[in-house]
Amino acid sequence: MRGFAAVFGRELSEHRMLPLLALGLGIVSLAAPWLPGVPRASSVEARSALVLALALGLSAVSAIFLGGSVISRDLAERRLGFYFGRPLAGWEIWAGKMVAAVALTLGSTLLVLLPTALLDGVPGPQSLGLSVAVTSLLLLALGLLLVELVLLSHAGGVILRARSAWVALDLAGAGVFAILGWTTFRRLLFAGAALPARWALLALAASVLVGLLAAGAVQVIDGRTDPRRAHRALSITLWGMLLAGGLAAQGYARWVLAAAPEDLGPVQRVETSPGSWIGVCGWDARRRFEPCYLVDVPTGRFVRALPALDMGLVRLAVEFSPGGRWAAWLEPEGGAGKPGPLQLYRLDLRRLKPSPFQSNIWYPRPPASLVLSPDGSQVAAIQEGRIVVDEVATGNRLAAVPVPRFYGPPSLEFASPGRLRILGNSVGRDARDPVVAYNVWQIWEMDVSKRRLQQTGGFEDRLGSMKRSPDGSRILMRDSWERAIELRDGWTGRPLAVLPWEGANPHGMDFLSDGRIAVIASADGGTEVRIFSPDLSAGLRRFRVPGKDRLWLAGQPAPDLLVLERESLDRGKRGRRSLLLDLVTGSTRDLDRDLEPISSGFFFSRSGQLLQLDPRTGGMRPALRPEAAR
Amino acid sequence: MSSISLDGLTVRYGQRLALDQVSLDVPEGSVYALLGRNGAGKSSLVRCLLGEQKPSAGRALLLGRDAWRERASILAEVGVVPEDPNAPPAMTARQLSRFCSRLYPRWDAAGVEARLKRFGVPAGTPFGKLSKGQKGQVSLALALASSPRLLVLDDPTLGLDAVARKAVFEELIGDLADRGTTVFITTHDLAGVERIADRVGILNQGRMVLDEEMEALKARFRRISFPRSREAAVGRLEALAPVAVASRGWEVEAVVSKYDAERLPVEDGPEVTSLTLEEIFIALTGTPEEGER
Repeated sequence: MRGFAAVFGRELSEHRMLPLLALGLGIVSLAAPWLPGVPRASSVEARSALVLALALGLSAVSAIFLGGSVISRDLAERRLGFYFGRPLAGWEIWAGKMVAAVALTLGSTLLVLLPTALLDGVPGPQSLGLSVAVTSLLLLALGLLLVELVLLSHAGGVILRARSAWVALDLAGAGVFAILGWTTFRRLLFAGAALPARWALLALAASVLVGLLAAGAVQVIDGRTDPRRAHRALSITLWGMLLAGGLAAQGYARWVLAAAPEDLGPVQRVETSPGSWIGVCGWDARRRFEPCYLVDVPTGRFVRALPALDMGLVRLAVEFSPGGRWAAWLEPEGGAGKPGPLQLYRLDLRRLKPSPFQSNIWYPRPPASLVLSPDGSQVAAIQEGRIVVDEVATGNRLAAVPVPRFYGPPSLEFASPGRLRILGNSVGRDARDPVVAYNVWQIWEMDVSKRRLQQTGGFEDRLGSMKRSPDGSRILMRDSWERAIELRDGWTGRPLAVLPWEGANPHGMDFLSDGRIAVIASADGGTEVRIFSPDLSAGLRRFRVPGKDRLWLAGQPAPDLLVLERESLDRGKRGRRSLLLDLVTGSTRDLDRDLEPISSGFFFSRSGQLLQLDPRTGGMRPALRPEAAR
Repeated sequence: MSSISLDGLTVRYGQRLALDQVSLDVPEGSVYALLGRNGAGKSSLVRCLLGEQKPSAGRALLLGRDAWRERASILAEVGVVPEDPNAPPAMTARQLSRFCSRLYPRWDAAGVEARLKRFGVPAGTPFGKLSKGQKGQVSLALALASSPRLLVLDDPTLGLDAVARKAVFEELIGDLADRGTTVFITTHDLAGVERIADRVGILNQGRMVLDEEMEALKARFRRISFPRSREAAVGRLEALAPVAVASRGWEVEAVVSKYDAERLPVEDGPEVTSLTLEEIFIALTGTPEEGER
């Protein structure tokens, strides 16, 4: 340590003019309010701005100058032998000189700030709108940045002054490290792994710091007074360590991007399909990011998909074809959750090894509606006021027709490839009482080959609710004024059947998977679930659920099994819970209070885990763990 | 015990061989002069000795310790005068002395001042503003101030005028007389070193061509001159191991390396003269045209 102190003191003494210069600059900056054009009222701000600029400028210049000269100049001018001819260990020479360079750099920065701080006081972090923790981190980062600049300048000084052929390794090493670092960062960021990307960046910056420290030390300790040997020692150590760091970062990125659905902790969003596949996004707690997947629940097969930014939400923009054979989703060009053009991907869900097809179809913005034809060959979307239909395989635009005037974005549905149905609504007013508004639904059909739209039907809906059958051929409506349930033709709107309702209003209805119709309504002392034939002509079954609870249909995990969600109307029993209704036996079973139904037999547990009901046993199983692993 | 021991020391710079299997021993208390032409490998050898250069093969021991691995601890007992005085140019001799005093277990600051005074070097002038000779004298003063067991002098008189050269050697002789320090010196000033060296080594193209006691060396080298009319006698010089034979005017001059008065090539009055170290050096390291065998 005696040698370190001697070398350190000697460097401080040699550069003693620098602190004086810094203090001089600090005093000069006190005169900032008298500079022309500076208003009197903002004298403190003017002084702060000038002194900060001077401090940052001087610290950067000092770091580059001192880092690039304290050792490399002595080495190049053959003066390092003065130290090596004395009983000084190599580390004492290196550390004494580099610590002095860092101390001079940081000390000079503080000395520039000192006069202004004495006059105006030191501004607290709160006055800058920052917390103490953030301010401390910023100061630490600035300090580390200056240290890194000193070390970088030292390495640069040695490399430039040695003029040896090892500079080829430096150029190659810098290139490889830059490529490794950039690809790591970009891959993670593209996948939406912002936190891992930040960590990787920090780790790379730390590896640069450690690499520069080690390389500088080895250069002096092992290279000693020979500039070429010193350069070689520096280059091999630096690029060896940085290459290791870069490869480790690549390995980390690979590990992060190898995330699988079963690694998801809390699941945030689920999109179910008519088949066994689901779209799911969730939080991977180990990798600290939120990936999205398309998962075949029974087998665990999956593909990763990038979520898109839509209406301010980052979500997986996936649509399944009516038969459940195909999936299509949109990935942003700039990476997960980034605004900008979106590219359409398609997946054949029946293939054993699912491999996404990257189409040539791009949307400049998230489309208001996106549907896939049953055979997966065409995709329709609403873009910039037009209904556009594209051929997935080629990316050719088959049609682009202005959307009829609707109140909101209409829903689209392929009747078959080449025939697109559009259901949209406008607002109608009661002729007798204009305050009363109602929905006027319009059904249009588009012949894609002729690029022509034609209205095929319509109907009115007065403050009720509406459900469409999965194939779009029927519409179920509840008219709260007339206290009736109507069944209409999905393509024309023409009434097919009307079911007058006696007693309490029905408050839930839906199509079951086999076409039957389920209606939920309050009854004396309880709630009823009634099952009707597909044409609403015959009531098939009636189930009574005791208690004064409101019920909703929350899914049909099996043909004869309904999930009902119920909310107690009793003041003391507020809260929702789910129950299972067996349509064959009529038996009901309460499910765990902490389960929140999603659809098709999927539930969220309280911890956010995605569970699936096993219709055979009635038990719950983790949905994202393949059956073989359960 | 040897103060310096080199064993098969080899230094390569890429393809170029700077030192080739050099071995030597410098006994404690002796003065060893290493001679060699420019580029012979002297500086590489000194750099290995001081632990600045890692040998490609072999090893260098100073005071019984490995010079590369234990450089810092060894140098506490070693004074060094480099070939090119290399102290920071802004520091004065006095500041240099103060800096060095913090590094050595013993430091004679007054001795440094006294020596500088004797040399006529101003102690308050920045090192960079001193002449080359004065820089060398400052280096010598600093090297002697720690009372070293071993002094390594790499051509300390290079670029010095005659007066300064004399001052350096007188200082050395004085110090040696006082303390009996081991001295390892490389120099081109053969006349100067001849007065103080106990042992001489000669490096030629990276190889050690001679390593011998000064007295023995001077005793076995002679110049023998005889008339050209007796040129046939040249053949009889073989027994005396001639290193150079040349015809000069009416005479034949031969430098022999195994002089034996009993085996002279001619009986009647050949002229036999002793050689200076410089003459021996030239005879051994000169080009073939100059008589090298």
